[in-house]
Amino acid sequence: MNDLPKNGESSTSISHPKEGSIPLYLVNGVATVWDAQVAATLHCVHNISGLRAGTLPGVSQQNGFLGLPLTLMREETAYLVEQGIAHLIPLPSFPTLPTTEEISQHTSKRIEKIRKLEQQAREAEEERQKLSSQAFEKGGEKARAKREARARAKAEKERAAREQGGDGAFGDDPAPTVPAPTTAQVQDPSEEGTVQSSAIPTGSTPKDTAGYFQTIPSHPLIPSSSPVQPITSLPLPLFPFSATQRDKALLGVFTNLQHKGYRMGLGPRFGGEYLIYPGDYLRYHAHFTSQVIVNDEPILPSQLVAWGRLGTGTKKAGLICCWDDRAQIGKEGREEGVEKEDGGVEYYSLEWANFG
Amino acid sequence: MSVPQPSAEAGPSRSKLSTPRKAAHASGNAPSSPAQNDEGEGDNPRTDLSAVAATPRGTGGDNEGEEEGDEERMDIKLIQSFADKIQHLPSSSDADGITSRSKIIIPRRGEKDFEPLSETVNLQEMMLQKSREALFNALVGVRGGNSKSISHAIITPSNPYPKMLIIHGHLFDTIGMSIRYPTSEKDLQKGKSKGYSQTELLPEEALYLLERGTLQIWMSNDLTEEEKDKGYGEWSDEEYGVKGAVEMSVMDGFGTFIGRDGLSWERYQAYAYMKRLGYTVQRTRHFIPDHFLFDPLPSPPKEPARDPDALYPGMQPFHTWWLNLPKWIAGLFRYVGRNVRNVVGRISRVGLSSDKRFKGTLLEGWTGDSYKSIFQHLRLIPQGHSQPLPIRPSPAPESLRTKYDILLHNPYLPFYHIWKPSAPFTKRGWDKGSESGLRDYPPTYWAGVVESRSTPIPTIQQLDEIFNIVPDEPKGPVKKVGPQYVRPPRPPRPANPNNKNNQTKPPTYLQAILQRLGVSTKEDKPSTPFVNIPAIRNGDRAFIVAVNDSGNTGWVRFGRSGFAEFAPV
Repeated sequence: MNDLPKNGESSTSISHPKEGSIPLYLVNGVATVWDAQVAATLHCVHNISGLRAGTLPGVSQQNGFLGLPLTLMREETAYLVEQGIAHLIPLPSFPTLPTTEEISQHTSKRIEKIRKLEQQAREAEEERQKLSSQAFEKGGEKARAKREARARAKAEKERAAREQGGDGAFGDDPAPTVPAPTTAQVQDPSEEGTVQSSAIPTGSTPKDTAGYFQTIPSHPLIPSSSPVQPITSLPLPLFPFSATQRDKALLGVFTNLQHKGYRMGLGPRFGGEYLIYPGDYLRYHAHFTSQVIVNDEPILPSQLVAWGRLGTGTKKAGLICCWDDRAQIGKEGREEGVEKEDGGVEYYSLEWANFG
Repeated sequence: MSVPQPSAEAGPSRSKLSTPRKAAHASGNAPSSPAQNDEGEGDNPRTDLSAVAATPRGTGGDNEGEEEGDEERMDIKLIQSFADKIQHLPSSSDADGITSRSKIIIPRRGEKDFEPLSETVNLQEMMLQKSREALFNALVGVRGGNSKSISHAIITPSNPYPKMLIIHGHLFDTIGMSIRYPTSEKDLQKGKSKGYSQTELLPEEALYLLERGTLQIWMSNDLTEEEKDKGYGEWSDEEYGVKGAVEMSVMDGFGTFIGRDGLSWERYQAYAYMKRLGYTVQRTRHFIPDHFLFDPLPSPPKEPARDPDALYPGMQPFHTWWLNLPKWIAGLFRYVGRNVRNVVGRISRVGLSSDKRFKGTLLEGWTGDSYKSIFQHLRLIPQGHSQPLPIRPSPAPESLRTKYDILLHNPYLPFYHIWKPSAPFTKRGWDKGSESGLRDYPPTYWAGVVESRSTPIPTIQQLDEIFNIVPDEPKGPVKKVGPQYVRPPRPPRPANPNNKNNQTKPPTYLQAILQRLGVSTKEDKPSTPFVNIPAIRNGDRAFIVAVNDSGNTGWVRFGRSGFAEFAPV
């Protein structure tokens, strides 16, 4: 995954515990993904979608569609790590700073790069100015006639206004102004939207140039010289998930459903642990809302009613996932068999029906 | 007691995504694809083949999606509309070998055993592929902007609150706090003033601006005096950056700021959610880090105290005897009134042949003359929010190591103050959430943030603790401020001639006499007691809670209202 482009930025090199293992960055107990290509791989190959949690660059004033980083559910993270698909890299609570030499090296590189960018911008501007003046000249008789007619009309109007108003407030030059590109127009069209607040330069940034596109990097620019030990097994203090029996049941059900080809989404909005999709959520609605039952946990009739009605009310079926840890223990000792196939999870779907 | 209501009432409700969706429909710039035909028409496109057939777009499609509630399944056109808008590197930087648009490879799965059974399967595959392309092309955006609009800050290991070096834009009208520092000895000798102030950022503010692409944070080691004199840690035009520092990546930013000063993922996401919608969000005074509240040079009060009560809340207000005169008069009237009522009650009881028949019942000892007094007599448990609650042990003060540990005992405590975008706000007036600042600039909402999977519903003690600190809800009709309430002006309606007939006629002579005698037929209808339902629903005190499920933020409002205050009898 590492050799794939990373949003047009320099990539960090990470020592992989396993060839092709995906790095997930652990921030305060939550695994995050910072690369669109990794997100695509997880989504399409491993059936893990996560949740986009970052402000979308360019469309930053809305919550309807967010961008990177992707945050993963606890179950998703534990599943990926347990299956050996990914490993966790805990991010430090303060980044380790590069050495002075590295900084000065990086600084000189940046200076070189930006000088080049500025040079290009200047050339591009000159080119554009030349082109626009050419276009202005070459506009042909028709365009000129139009322009002149417009200017005449304007002058006419102003004269009329002056005569009416009598105060001569409109004393401007009626001649058409040449549309010279001002610095404001030179801004690249792709930046529209981000620069929503009008910039008031209070600092000491150079004002003679049009400026350049400054990237806020998503990955560290200088890879840390002391690599962090990647995590390949769970649970551990930084990521305590799947320590309790309930967690184990959740993970067991999640893994089992994944193997059956289902995809899981966040369920609490619909009153369950997971929303269960029969495939990519881009294509399907969820079919089930899960309720995970551990071992012989009793079910009250009122719970059944609630789950059944909830499922029907949201056009889904309730799915009761009964997880039995005794079956898990038995499974390990046994060879291939029926128990192995169902993974110690029994499923019952619940639908609300009536007579007539 | 408390009425948790869905967020629709609370104001900051989940955005319905209506704008981008509509925009996509109107402009129609999404690539023409078979997906257009599948606007969430059937619940399951796999079985609902008719929806896939080339029929014109159904009009009911959107309604179906609305009913479904949250955006459970995404629409390709919606995704595409966002993918079209994201920010890429300008093409001019191609020269350094950096591609401006990295091409995402959408992995295809099971292509080997792909077997086109019919045209529809093919179509579905293509649709899915298109949706995925749109989705992941929307993720390749690059943060940043024109160098002239980017602000800069510096962070060092000894001060993890980024210090602003260059400020651009109006976002900083509501972000960042200024801190006063004493001038160092050396600078004092140079004749500089005794203190200087600089703007520093809270963790959530820094992270929000960083990931928005508006702020570049520079990381540097702690600087010695010598290095400072050489210009390290300051912006340098020649270096196009901060001297001796390196840019902080957004990933580093998340690692650095989340988990600091009580900023959990949930609290950050609630903060960013409101900020993206344009609200002004500040921490409540209790949760502002001490670093920001510490003032090494307490400046003398600039203006004479306007309200001594507010400045010294512990002091008894100034009283003289004549201020009590109205109270005494009212007391006298109450006393007289009570005596009169007692006498009347006694007389009526005599009429009811004494209260002996209540002997042995719950009503024994009842001396009243109204239904209300009966109910009051029967009541075993006192009602109303003024009554003290059964006492629960409060956390031992020594168990609270930091000021954020109180949140372990009551995670619902308001962490943020939120102002509507239309509400007036200035950082100076807000005064870091001081008492007078909140009085002058009252926040629209007090908001707590909880994690949904592990946090139980608040106990009555937890709620009471919060209701005791939040201000009273504004009385009267809701003030509707904002563009969504502005109605297009209606043409004046011609006066309805029927209205004249509806006017009440003056009572006839006979009716007037009957009314005076008290036997009018008008009074026949039993008047139902007036209950102010909106007031009950709203409550007298309220706060909102951001409920976060693995990154999905929903909003819930808790209001306090008591039926004792709105008794209809």
